Amino acid sequence: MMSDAKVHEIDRIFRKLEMEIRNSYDRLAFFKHNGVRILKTRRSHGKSKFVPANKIRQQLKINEEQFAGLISCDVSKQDYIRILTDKGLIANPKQESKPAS
Amino acid sequence: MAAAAAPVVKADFSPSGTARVELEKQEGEILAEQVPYAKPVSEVPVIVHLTSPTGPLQTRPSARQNKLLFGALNDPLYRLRRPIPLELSVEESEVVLTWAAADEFGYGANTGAALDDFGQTLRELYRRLHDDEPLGSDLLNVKRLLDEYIEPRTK
Repeated sequence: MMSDAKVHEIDRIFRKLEMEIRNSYDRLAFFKHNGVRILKTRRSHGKSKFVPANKIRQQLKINEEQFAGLISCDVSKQDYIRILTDKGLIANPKQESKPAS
Repeated sequence: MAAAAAPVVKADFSPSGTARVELEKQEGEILAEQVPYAKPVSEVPVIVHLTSPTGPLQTRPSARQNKLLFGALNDPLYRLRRPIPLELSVEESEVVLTWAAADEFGYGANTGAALDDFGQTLRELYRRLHDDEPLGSDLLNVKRLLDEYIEPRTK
């Protein structure tokens, strides 16, 4: 179940997606693609072992299966980019290159 | 060790959470609480019928409200134009405050800590979305929403 995800598992997702984190005090991490900030999510903070994984999953715009895949390595960064492209959150390069009619 | 009785037990939970347990009658007489029984205790057949209420009676009343307004940004440079509506939930004993429209949240050991966390997150989000980095469509929408709620302080 997603709410059981641990802090280190969330950190693993952030490393895999190469989320933009400026410093250790930042509460936010951004997913960037081709130099554009696509979406933001929260980082864990303090000594608490609690992490609202379901909220973070929603911020990453993925379903529970995809979230579990990111943790277990079944979903790669390229897969994630494809997911966001399908959702229209990342501009599709094929559509962008089409000449305007 | 003496063998135990083999009563059929019927137990009903009342709405307050207490239970009433009766020994089943046999030929109009209530069985004694303990009677010699040939089998070991572990094999004594006991049938327990349990019923418990469902729905609102099982929910503990809570002093916390599940909706509240965030009204103070506590920032020397920026202030709120109007309060931000938050939804409160409790997960694993931690209070989580969610601003659904911005898909943002704060959390902490209690409501005060969660409000403080939300405030810090909001301030950081506002600043990060107003630096010079290009934004995708989703974050542009969040930035527009933030601008409806937050404005620079006038000197």
